Amino acid sequence: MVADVIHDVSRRARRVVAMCAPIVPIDRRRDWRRQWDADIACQAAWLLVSGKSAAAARRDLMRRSTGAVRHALWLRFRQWRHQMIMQDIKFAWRGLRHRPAFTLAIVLTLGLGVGANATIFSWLDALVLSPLPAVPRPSDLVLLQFASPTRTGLSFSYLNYRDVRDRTPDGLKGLAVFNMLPLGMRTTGEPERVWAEVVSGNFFDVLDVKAAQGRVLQPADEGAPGASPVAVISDRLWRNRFAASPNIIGTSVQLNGHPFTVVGVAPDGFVGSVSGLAMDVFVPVTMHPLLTGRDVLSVRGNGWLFALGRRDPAVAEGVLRTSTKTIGDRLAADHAVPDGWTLRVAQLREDGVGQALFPVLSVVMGVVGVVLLIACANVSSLLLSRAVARQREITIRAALGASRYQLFRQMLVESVALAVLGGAAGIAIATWTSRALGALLPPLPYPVLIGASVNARVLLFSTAVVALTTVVFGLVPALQGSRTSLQNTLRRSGTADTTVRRTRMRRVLVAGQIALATVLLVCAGLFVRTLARAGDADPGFSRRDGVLASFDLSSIGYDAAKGRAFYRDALARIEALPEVESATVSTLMPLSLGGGSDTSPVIDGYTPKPKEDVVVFYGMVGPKYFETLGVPIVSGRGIDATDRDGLTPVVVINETMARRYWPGGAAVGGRLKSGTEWSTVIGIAKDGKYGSLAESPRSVMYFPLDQTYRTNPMLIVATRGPASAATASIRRAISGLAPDLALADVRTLQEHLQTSVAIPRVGAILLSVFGGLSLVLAAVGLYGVVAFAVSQRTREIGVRLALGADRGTILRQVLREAAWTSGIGLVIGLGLALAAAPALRSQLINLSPTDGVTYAATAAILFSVSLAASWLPARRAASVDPVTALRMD
Amino acid sequence: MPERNRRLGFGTVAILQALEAGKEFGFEIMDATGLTSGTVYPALDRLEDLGYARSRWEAEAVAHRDARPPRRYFEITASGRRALEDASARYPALRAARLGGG
Repeated sequence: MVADVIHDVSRRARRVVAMCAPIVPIDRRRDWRRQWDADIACQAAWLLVSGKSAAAARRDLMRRSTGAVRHALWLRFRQWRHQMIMQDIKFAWRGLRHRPAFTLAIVLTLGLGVGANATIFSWLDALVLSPLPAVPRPSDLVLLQFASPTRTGLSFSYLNYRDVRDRTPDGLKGLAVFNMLPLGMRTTGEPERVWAEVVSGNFFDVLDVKAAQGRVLQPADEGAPGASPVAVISDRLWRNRFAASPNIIGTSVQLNGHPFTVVGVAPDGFVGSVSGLAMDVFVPVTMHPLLTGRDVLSVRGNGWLFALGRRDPAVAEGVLRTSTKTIGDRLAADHAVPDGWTLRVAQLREDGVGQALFPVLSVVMGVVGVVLLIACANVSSLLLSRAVARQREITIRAALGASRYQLFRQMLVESVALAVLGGAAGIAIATWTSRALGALLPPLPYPVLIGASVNARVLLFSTAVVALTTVVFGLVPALQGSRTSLQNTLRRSGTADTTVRRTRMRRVLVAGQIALATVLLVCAGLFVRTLARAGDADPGFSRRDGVLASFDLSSIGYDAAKGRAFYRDALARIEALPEVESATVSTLMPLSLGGGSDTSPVIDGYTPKPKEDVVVFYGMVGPKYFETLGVPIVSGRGIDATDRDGLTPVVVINETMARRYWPGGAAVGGRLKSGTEWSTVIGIAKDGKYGSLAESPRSVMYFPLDQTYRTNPMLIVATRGPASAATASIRRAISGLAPDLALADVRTLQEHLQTSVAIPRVGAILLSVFGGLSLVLAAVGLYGVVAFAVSQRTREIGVRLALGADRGTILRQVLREAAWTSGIGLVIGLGLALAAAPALRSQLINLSPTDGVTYAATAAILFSVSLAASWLPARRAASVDPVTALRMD
Repeated sequence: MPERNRRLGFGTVAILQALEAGKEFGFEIMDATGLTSGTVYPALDRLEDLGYARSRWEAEAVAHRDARPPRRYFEITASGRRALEDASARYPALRAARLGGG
């Protein structure tokens, strides 16, 4: 009776205990149940005896029984702690320490693989994934761009910007504009070039960047043109150029010869809004006319500003898109922008250096991924061979009662230990190489942000890579190793099933390594051949010996009249030098990343089709431009000293433009209007490459610099003989005329040409390094497999030799087997390369992605290396002493 | 017997003290210390691991007479007493309780 009541009030508590029981380790489970059931029963009896109601007793018992959950979990974890981790880790550590060569080989192989991945990822991270350092919530930032029917990414004029800003699209908290501008900065002594961003007054507000000292620019700073000579400088400039002076706020600096007051220092790490580039000075956009000597603020047609907005995350993206488009359409209806142009929202990552480098970096990321796979295959192979060597030990442990799960777990712990060591080595390598990679970059005319470093995201990525690696290289050997066959192993017959299977597994791994190495080497070969061919590629000009230099007359306060006189005098002085053949000035230099701009001219006699987009690249050139660079004039004449300001405006166009807009062939003598004036076409120049050797032909106009004055052209000097010899005299000639004028980026024409093949060169270097690395890894892998197979078959070979087999036959047989492995890998690799190489097409100059020579050469190199790798063990097989071999146990 | 010179937590020391005071099984110790069952049961097992306590099963006959399953009884060991002495020095509140209770 009493027992029934006790049973009843304790039912739920006992159920809790019953449910937790499976958690408890099996050897403790029965006692655990007894302990809890007994304690609950006693408590129930005591509660009832002491006069508690049944309900109160139930509550008390339930409360007490909840501890069973924790108790059960605690017992389970204690078991794991005791049995598994500590024991396995100790065992693994001992094992690794006793084989230092083996451990070192694996840790280094993994370290190289992980290090290469972490390095490239740190660059991807810096340039693409987090392109605007020190800007809060960059994912809310968007770009606003115009798009024509054929082109996207068109920029804003200042007037267009103000219109769009004042109508603020719904879902945008603010809209700012920026553009970069090189400036001559002088505090004391020589003027120095710095990169500045001209920005709208709300720029820092939109980016949500606060000043570290002083203040940031404000909307009030964007006043009348030239009215607010204030500047914010970067933390980097403050430290390097002003020695972190505490009195920086209020300091006056000369920017292009005009006094500016430093009103603030940007926070550490902030480098502006051009992703991938580092800017040092920020000035209001309304100071642009003063700084450059040109008023582009009041011109509506020319886009030159990039618009950056901050989204309101509370408003749907669709609302922003629609609203932006409506505002753009209204601008088009008001004829503020050409017909057919639309305004659209673009993602931040669609712009900047990150976008230019993203394809390259993603290819390289793929490459290092492949290197890591090869490294994994090698480590896997090493572990497999060791599993064979340890078979006796493992079998004995199995015989002594270790379960397959325990053996598997043990081996996996070893792999994890190796992966952790390898990952640590990789991160150590990456901290060094992510900086060293900066040295690979060609000298660029832009301040590329070399800020890639190993940060938290990179560490997280590397950890993920290590985890993945462990699974890839550790699982197969662990699964295979834990499979034991007691009889076979203890009998130790050298040709046991498992051995054959493992050798086959390793052959598959090696074939895979060779296949991947083939892909990398083919890509490396394509880039190397591209570099070799780049010298033969026609950039559109024939001059090879020359000197280039940049300067800006606004930095010494010259007006247009003084500037025009300076150009004439300077060119005359330079041409008088004995080393110089001819000289010119021009805003346009072939194979440059910048210099020219796009415009939409009106062409007399040509009616654009509906929605047709007339966009022409243009620049201003001085007299003898075409002669100095060696650009052939195919019809009419080039620009010369007679094309002076105030005379009939003239223009030279290129062949592509002549063909497109004067299909009848009567281009010379034709007229076009760019800006406000009509110009007469006086000549047609041969097409050239303006941005890169791989670009497709585009329409180009050359205006005389004297008629369309610019303060910042490039000086182009053709020299007799080596260009470097003339540099000093050219500098002297300029400083004799204008002592304060700074010449920047002085370089030879050859160096300039080198820059234009920068991407293929970086590709060639990186791929050759990684391709070479993978070739070495694959060769080591093949050597290991062949050597292992030979050692396993020593007895068999001994028997055959004793029976009179020829040593040459043995040698050939071993080599033949190795050749099969590498041959299969090679064929698969060539197939993969054929599939992958077209992705590189845009970077290849005059070279097909299926270039036969590259493929044949790669195949020849790989095959010879594999034969060499298998030759040593094959020789050893052929020189086996039959007597020793037969005596082997 | 494993005897590790570990620092015991306040809860564990309280349980050790309850054992010394003659409390014998889980719920009893729970009531004596005011700790939850989720703390007391694992702590008892841990004290047994450390050699500070030992457990035994109640004789079947005794349990049968009272018409209930046999209980698992715990008692403090000699090294447990030493550990308790050391620990009490660190927890004056417990020492006061001990002296007061004694």
